Amino acid sequence: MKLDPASTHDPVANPANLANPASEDPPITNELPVPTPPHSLWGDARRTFFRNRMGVFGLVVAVLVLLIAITAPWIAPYGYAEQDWNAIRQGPSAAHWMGTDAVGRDLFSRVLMGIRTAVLMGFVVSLATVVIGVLAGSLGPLLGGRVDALVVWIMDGLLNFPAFWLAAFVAVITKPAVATLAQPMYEATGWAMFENTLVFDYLVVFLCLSLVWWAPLGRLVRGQVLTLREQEFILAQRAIGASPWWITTRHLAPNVLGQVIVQVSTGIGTLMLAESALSFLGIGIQPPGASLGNLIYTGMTSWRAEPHLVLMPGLTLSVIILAFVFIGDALSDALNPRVRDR
Amino acid sequence: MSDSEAALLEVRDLCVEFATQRGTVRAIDGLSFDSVAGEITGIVGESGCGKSTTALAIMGLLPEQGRVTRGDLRLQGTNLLALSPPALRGLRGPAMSMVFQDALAALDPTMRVGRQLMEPLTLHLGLSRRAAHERAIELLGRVGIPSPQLRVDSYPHEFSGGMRQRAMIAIALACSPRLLIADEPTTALDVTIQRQILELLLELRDETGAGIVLITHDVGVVAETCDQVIVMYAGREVESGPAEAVLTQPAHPYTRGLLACSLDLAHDRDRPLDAIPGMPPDLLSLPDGCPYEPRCPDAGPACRQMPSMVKVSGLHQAACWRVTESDPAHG
Repeated sequence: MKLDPASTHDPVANPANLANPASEDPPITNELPVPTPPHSLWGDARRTFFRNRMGVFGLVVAVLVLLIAITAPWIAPYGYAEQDWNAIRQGPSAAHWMGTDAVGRDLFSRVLMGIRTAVLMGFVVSLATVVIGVLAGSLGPLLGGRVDALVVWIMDGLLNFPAFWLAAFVAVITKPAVATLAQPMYEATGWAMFENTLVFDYLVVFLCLSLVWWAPLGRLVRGQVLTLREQEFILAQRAIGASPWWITTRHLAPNVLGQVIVQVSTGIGTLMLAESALSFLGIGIQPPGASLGNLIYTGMTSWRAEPHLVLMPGLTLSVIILAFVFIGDALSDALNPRVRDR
Repeated sequence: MSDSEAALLEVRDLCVEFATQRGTVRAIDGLSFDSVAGEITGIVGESGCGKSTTALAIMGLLPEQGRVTRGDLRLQGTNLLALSPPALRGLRGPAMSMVFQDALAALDPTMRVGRQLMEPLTLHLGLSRRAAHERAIELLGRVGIPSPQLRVDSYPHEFSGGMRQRAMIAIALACSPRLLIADEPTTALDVTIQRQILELLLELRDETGAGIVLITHDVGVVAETCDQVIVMYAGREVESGPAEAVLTQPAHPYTRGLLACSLDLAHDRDRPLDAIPGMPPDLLSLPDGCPYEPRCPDAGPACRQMPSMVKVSGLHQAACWRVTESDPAHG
């Protein structure tokens, strides 16, 4: 309900009321206009997000990518390692939409599986970094003293190296260890899983990225928690008898959540790129396993003759990463309380 | 202060010290007062005189660097200083609670007002979600927020300043505390809203019978609301007693100075505004004698010694050598 200036009793807005106080207007009551439905933080954020075209584009691509990742083995026209010796080094055609590679594998199917790998790594590693980062970032200030000092020391140590090269280093070191561990595991359990080198590839990439990638997030959360802790509403919470655990879960976490979401959504693209780069360098997912990175790498050997072998996975990777960057940007606008023009 | 009425809150010889990089600061030195149920006790003084520290010390919420070094704090006979942190948490809310100066900062920006009101109810009274929600609406209505059933789902930023302060008071009152500490509850509000909030406090005092400790720097607020008043300067109490006696016959020069600084628009329109010359002393290097001596218009040689609280009349006390000198009858 909107206030109509003509019907108000405010003499400033409507001098007629001042001139004739005993007019036939209905008597002044204490009833106030019904407040508009409350804007929730997330409702506001959703509206702002969907007003951002790039963000919506990113979201559409991301949902598509996610669907492809889940259904890749079923929608791919060929098996990702299936070789057809009658169709080697073919350009794009009706039978092979993105052509075939040097050993006759369908590139489209391999790109789909590469997307699956990228999404798996992007999401699983993101989840791991959120768990490690949020725990480290909030427990440090909460427990204080030596725990905090240790956490800061580890984070600073990690942040002092280029994350990607550190991850590559960890991958190179852990791979033989994982491999030597696998043989006795296979003998003990008899599970085929421990004989499949592709599983190690995934495990190692997952491990090295998770171990390195949480540091920026941990620092972000720690900084936020340190700032929030000094806010008066935390003191007010303590004044009504809230315990540290209550305050952390109900008041600190929701206040940090927005920033974490922004950081993670932007980071997913970077993580996918890191996985591809590791695979490109030959320390990530190895053929016949499909990763966009190793597809580009193997395609590079013959890019003059068959540019599509590089172009197709390269373009796919770029579009996916861009999509996540757009999502991150849109979210950071939507969830930043200081940017409010609504 | 009388012993005839059972005091709700007894503060005896309270000393609070802060460890700073430049040394130990004694923020409160030997503060004693009682707060009686159904009465409003005012604590007045300039910024930095220890008013808010007193509030935080009573609540057990002093920052890490602060420590109660001496004295006694008893709430309904319970020694607050001897309680374990969980036991003290159990008292905050149902036994004592606090209203902060800046309600916008004191409310969680990401949580609906209703849910913040429900928190103490579920935390201490174990109410179900539904019951707590009902009670939250009731409380919002009680503190004078119009259409509480609609407002309960609003966020703090959708409230006006006065409404936020009302919501803050509702949260503090949620578990019907016996003692309510209000730390400058009206300072961030404009004058008309100030009056409404003060009237609300008076109403609540009469209705709930809670003891209220009202911290303010505004003598006018004290005059309107308080039953008894404590004037603090540089961490020490300099004058205390029934509000009427202290405000009409101030015995300490500092109280007189404070009163002279307040304005009466009916008479003082053309008079330049008075101010107490000088600055409050640095708590790290207090003078040996009366802390007010460097600024005091009536200071004499006796003031190089620390005065103690002496009776002016009845319950009215002041810490000034002039009280005994000028009025030997009351000595």
